[in-house]
Order: sequence, then structure tokens, then C-alpha cells
Amino acid sequence: MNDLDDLRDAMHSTPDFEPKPLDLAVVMAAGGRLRRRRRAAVGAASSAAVLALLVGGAQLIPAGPPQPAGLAAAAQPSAGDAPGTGSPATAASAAVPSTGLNIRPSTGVPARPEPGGAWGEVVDTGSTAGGLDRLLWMQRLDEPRLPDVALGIVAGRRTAEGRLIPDVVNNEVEGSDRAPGFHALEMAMVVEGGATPAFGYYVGAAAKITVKADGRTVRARQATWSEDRSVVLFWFDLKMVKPAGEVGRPRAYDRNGRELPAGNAAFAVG
Amino acid sequence: MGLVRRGDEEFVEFAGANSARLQRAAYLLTGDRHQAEEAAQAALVRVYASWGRVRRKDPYAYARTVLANLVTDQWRRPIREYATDEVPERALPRDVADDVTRRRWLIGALQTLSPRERTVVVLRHFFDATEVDVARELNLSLGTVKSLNSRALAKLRVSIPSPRRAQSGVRP
Repeated sequence: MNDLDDLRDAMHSTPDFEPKPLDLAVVMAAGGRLRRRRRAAVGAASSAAVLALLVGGAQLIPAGPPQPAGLAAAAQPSAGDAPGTGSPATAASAAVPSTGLNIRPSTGVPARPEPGGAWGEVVDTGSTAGGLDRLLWMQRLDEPRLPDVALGIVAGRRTAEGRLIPDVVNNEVEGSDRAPGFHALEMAMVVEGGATPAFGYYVGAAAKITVKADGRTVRARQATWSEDRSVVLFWFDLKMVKPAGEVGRPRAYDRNGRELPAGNAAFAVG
Repeated sequence: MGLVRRGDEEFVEFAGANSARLQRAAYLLTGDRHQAEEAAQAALVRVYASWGRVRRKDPYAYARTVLANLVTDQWRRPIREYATDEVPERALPRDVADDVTRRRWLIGALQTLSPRERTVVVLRHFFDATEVDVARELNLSLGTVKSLNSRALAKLRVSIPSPRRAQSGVRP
């Protein structure tokens, strides 16, 4: 053995240091947040309106005062209102029998949505976070590096003033955002605005969407996207699909109970 | 943890196989066990965030590059650090020194190098990266890498064996 071998031997043995097992769940959760931050930054590249304030995977936009219970649906501005533009238009609520959720038809959905704003109708998940309705909406992405991706799905809230507060943004980074199957699945998690449900979207005639959560099959609540009826936004009740729970095996079925293509059927974690 | 994203299983396998080595490298770079764990974990976080892009390339090279640059970035902050040419004397003559003492001396001596010298030594002789790879990963010229490596080994009083010695194992 020569000097260089001694050095190499010493570096590989480090008598005063023994590596410890790292918590890979923590690593992957933090890596997932970092990845989403990058995606969000991609989505926000041409939009300074909302996503410029994205930090840490969760939105840090200061929320307005909590909206009084019972007034939220009537006082919400249109889904297409750009954040900060105010104009509190009144929107009616329409019940979707299959899921019981409320979809607020937009009176101001732009024909060509602004990047970063809501694209199409905003979906009320029927739950609240921090006193504000927990919402899902689509936003338009315009990223040259992702030529086949224009859709991002957002879990967020809306202030009494009508500002949309995105909490979690997800989108495809490989392939087409309109390919049949699941897209942008996101685990339930706790962010600054409170807990966000597991959510995602499906392209195809999905009449029923399920996952296996902590050993139980749980059916998603879902809503058809106003701009493309082949796109289904879905989410899971936080009591059934919990943050840090075991979630997997997403399945979509048509109205005859036949299983539909899976697509990118993997949940982002953290 | 729930069902993992495509490729997550590969990442878990990769991280499991390499986290100890990354931590050890981080310890060599920082000289601090807590910083080493944090740096290795931070490097793996970045690897995971880019896993879809790097998993089919060379994730190990990416990880070591991230680690080296993470630690180097810390050095670039206004933290006072004084590299010195004064390397402590070897505790004992080679022939009678036990392995642990010699290893401990070498690790201690490593911390007397400048950050760039130390990084080059770790990449070159711990990770076995080529000088070309080290130059690319640290964004240095090949000549600078050669110079840093040579100077660092001289400070460590590590002689570079000639090919004949290396093959025969004959000590000077």
C-alpha cells in the first residue's frame, strides 16, 4: 500500500464518523416539494399574477379575512376573475348529483385564460381550510419546454375579496397532459393554508374513480371540467385519504364498470 | 409512505445504496458530523427532485456534484475559514503507526486544506472521479484541477506513486 492508498483507505473508513441511516421519507417529501416549486415556477414563468408568490410548495400569499359561513357560495366572484382584480360577481351554485359537490359556473371565464389564473370553472370541494372554501381549479401553463402540457391543477382557496389562493400546484412533466388516464395525482398534505386533499385529474369518461387508502377502497368525488368534458377533476375526502396515509392503486371506471386506462397513476408525495 | 411516483422505488434503492458514501464524503468535506448528515440529506433531496431527469443518466455523479457544490456554496458564504499550509506532523512513524491513528491523522490533515483543494481531493480520490470529470463538475479548468490536486497531496505529504511502484506495491 502506498501513500495514496493510505489516503483513500482513510477517507473510506473515517474512524471518527459513522454514517447514519437517513430518513428517506423526509428526503422524498422535501424533494417532492422542491420539484413542485420548480414546476410551479415553470407555470409561473409567464405569469406574475399569482404564482410569483409561490414559496415552499405552499402558497404564502396572505389570505384575506375568513369568509362568514353560509355566505361563501353567494359571495364568490367568478372563477375567471384574475386574482386581485376584485369585481365580486355573484355566482350561482349548481349541484352535481353524483358527488354532491358544488360547481360555481363562471360568469367571466376568459376565452383565452391568463396564465396563472383559473382556467374554467372553479370547483368547490365542499370542505374548508382556514375558514375558506377548499377549491380546485385548472390553470393554464405556457412553458416552451413542455410543449404538450398546458394544464396545471391547483388546490387552493379564495378570500372574501375574491382572490384565489393557490396552495398546491401540480402538472405533468412528461408526455401529454391530455393523454387518456390519470394525471398530476397529489397526495393529501398539510400546507400553510391547512390540509389539502389528495387530488388530480383524469382524461377519459371516468364515472367512478377509486384508490386504496389505508387498506380501504375509497371513491373520489369528481367534477367535469367546464372547458373540456373529457377531463375530470377529482379529490378525496380528507377523513378517508389522510396526509401521510397509505394511498395507492388509483382506478378509473366507466359508467358500465369497465376499468379505464391508468396513465400516470402515481401520486406525488410531500 | 403512500404509493410512490414512477421511479421512486429506483430512487429508494439508489439512496439506500449510496447515502452512507455520500455522508462520508460530506464529512470529509465539512469535518463536522452534523453538517455531513445535513449536506448528504440535502444532496439527496435535490437528486430526488431531479430524479426523472437524472435517473437514466448517472445519478451517482449528479449526487456527488450536488453535494460538492452544496458544501462549496456554504464555503462561499462569509464564514471565516483559514486554509493553512501547516499540516500537523504525523503522530507516529508509518511502520509502527496503527491504522486508526494514521487514518485519523489523514482526515485531520484533510481539514487543513483549502476548500477547493479538499473538494478536489474528495472527488478525485474518494469518489474516484477522473480529473476531467472533476473539472466539469466543479466548473474548473483541467489545469486548475491538476494543480489543486497536486498541491493538496503535497500538503498531505502523500506521494503519488509511479506506475511501477503502484503495480509492485514497493514502498519508497
